[in-house]
Amino acid sequence: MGARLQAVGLEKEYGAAMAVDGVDLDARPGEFVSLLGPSGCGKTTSLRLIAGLERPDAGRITIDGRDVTDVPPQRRGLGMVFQQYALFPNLNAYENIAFALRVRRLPKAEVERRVAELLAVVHLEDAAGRYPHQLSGGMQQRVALARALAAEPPLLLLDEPLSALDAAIRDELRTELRRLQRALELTVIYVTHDQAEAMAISDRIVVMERGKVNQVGSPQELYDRPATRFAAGFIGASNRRLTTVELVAGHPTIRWGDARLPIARNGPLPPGSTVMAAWRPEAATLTDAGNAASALHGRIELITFLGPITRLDVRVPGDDEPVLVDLVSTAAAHLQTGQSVAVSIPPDAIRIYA
Amino acid sequence: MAVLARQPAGARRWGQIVRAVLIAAVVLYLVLPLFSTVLFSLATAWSKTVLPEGYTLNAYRESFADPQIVRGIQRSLTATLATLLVGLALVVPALLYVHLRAPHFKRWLEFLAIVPWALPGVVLALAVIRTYISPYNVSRPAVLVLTYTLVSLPFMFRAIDAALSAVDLRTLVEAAQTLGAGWGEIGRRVILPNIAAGMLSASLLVAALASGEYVIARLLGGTGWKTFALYQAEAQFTDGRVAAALAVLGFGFTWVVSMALIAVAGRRGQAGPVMNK
Amino acid sequence: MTQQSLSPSSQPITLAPHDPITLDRVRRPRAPRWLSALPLPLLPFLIFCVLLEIVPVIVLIRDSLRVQGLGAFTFANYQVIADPLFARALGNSILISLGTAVLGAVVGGLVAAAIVSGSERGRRLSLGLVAVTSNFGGIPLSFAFIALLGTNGFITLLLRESFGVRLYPGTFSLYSWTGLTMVYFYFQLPLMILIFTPAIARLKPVWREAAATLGAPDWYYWWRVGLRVMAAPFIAALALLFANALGAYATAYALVGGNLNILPIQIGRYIEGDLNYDPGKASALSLILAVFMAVGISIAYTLTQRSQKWLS
Repeated sequence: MGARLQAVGLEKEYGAAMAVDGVDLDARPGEFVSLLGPSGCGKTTSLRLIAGLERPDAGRITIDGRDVTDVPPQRRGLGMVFQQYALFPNLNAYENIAFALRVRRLPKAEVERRVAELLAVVHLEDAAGRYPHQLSGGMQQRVALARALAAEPPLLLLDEPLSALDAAIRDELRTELRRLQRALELTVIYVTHDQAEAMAISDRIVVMERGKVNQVGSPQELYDRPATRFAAGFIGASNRRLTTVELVAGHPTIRWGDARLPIARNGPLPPGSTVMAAWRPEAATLTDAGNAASALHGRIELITFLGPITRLDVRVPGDDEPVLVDLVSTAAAHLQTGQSVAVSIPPDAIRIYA
Repeated sequence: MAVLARQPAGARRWGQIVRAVLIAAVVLYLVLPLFSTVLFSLATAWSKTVLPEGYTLNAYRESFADPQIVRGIQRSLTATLATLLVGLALVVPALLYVHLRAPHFKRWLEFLAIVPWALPGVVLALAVIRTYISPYNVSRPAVLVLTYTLVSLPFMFRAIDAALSAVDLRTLVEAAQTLGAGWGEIGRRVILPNIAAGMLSASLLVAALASGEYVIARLLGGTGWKTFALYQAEAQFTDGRVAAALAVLGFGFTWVVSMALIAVAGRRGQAGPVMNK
Repeated sequence: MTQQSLSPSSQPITLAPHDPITLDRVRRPRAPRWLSALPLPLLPFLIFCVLLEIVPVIVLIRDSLRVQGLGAFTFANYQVIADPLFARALGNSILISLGTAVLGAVVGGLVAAAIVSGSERGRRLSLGLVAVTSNFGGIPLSFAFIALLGTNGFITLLLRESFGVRLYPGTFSLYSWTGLTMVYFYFQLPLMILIFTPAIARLKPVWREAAATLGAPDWYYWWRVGLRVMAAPFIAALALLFANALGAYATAYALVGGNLNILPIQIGRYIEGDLNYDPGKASALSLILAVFMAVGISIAYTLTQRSQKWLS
């Protein structure tokens, strides 16, 4: 069973910059939590603070209620996987995995049993005798994962473990990691800059920006209701513009190029205020060019076939960049580049950020 | 080094002190002999006092006034330059060919280039003497230059190979070809810029090695074609001040060459030291 | 594919020739003859290696196996190593080379570690000094030590005039094994620092961090990983230092003339004519010396290749 990890008010300063500026985290036992953000947002530093590889300038960290802020990494009882694998180059896969067990002076038979088990878990039974430089990147990361799990830590930290790998191996390993985490009921803190990866794997995502937590939520929540401009821009594809709110016949609308789009009335929206409007490409539909007054009229500039969906770049008069529209591919089959279309967006699909 | 941060502050302080003392001691060890040599070369009289009783440039004036020494310097510089040119002429085309056309040959060339490294100077000198000097009366300076080329082959080879390996020359050349460049243009604008730094550092290594070399010069050049190093050795047994001045000149030359080497290597990997003891 | 198929080693250098568009568009540069025909560019290099490397070594081996002046085959020249003088010369050479190699490797290794853990500026300064001094050697270096520690050397005078400590005669002599060791140490130390600093720098901090998260105390990490990873480059450097000192001639010659019995100087004696000229014995001794040197270089080379695989 996984451990509960809590961090309160973590701060860490590097030179003059605050790498981590008041971060709170609470991961429930068995929960898969991702720290998501662009490089330099403090996610890796936060992870290193949790691991004990860095000391926080302020804040406390507890694991299952035990305050470990001043405990060295050796005695925090957690596992960690690094971006660049960090396998010991002089030890073969077997000995790398056995490392934590030998530190703990487990009996030989126990070490053998445990390593064999872990090799099976990461599908590397045949690679036990190989050295890191004889293993592919994906294999190395599997060994690193097995090594981190050897001492059965209740909390596993992963620092961009997949970002050095090829796309196909990345997806495969991601699925395996998720399965393993479920089976072992591990608590996992997972650092990544890849929003698609975070969405696919996490129970909960902590979006970070400039050392601070920007939004916390399930992947679905973050996708449907990004709370900030930053989250809206960082997670998933969206059409975003800075624009102004205007009341037309008592209904709030926004300008989009030369057109005007009605928006839902959620929250106070003073007319004339500058806001950011954002909507997802898949929220839009194509309507007949003639009869939709409140739609964006434009011309298809580019058609990109993406398998199940087809993405259109539609050029709208008065707008600087094309808007993206995702359609189910079967519905887009008849479209051609250069064709005039009307894009209509449901008012409640347009999110407004002050 | 965050794990270090867990050490108590006292231990870290001690570590820093030990480190500073160690580095200071090494710097002293490396600098003091040079310092004494400079002092010695400038001293008027210095046998009863901690520092010289007076200073003069006489030793340097004497050295440069001695036509033999000047000729020795000229010879050393000539031999160095010739070694350089011969070495570059041998190694550059061979390595270019190997990198562009026949990568599988490189192992063999590398082996041939490394072998002289495993042979002491005195052994190389003996082998060359026995092969070329005693039976035929060939030009000794020429044989000396060729032997220097042999000695410097490993350094030459590795410096230029490193420069060529750092870029994918083959792809660059192919890219230039698809853009319609002719061989002249490719040589001037693709190959040369990529190999220039390697050639320069190779040349500097050779300069550091050949300019002060002693044993081969003595055994091969002999009394007929004395280089700078031979006069240096002689002066040591005749006039200490002149010997010191010559040593300073030798160090000075090496220093300049080494600094240039660092400047070149700083932009392109690590410069290996030469072995010329 | 007309011309290229003639030389199998040459790769096609343009796009597929049957593609008319590329043929028209791309002016297909033909390699100059010297590059596309035989491996002509290799010839000077290969001829040079044959003439100055292979033939002389063969001559050396032949000489070592011939009776002086007669040309009959013999192993007698190698028996020279049974002569106490030469046996001791070989022993001395190995001893001082190994001794200064170990000394230089240990001290240099520590200094390299200190340099790596220091500041970037200090690192560049000290490595600059080390890179320059690593090129010092031979005659001027020996003289520098005479100026420092000879009978009228700077430190000799400093100790005598300021502290009343007399090094000469009796207490210390530069013209001894101790002195020679000091001079050898001077060229071993920078060489070690120069080749070992990059090796230490490649010891990734993340290994230590990984070990820490796995519960290993620092000493355990060093014992199981750090020291073992460093072992190959360390031994490689040690072997290189050994070879470096083994062939040294000028340093010892300039310092003590022929007074200390080391093998290169003995070989030199046999070559330098006057009474002793004996190419057979000189060649035999040379080959013995070369074998030891080659062993050192081979160890250094092999281990370096291996550790590069580990540390890449």
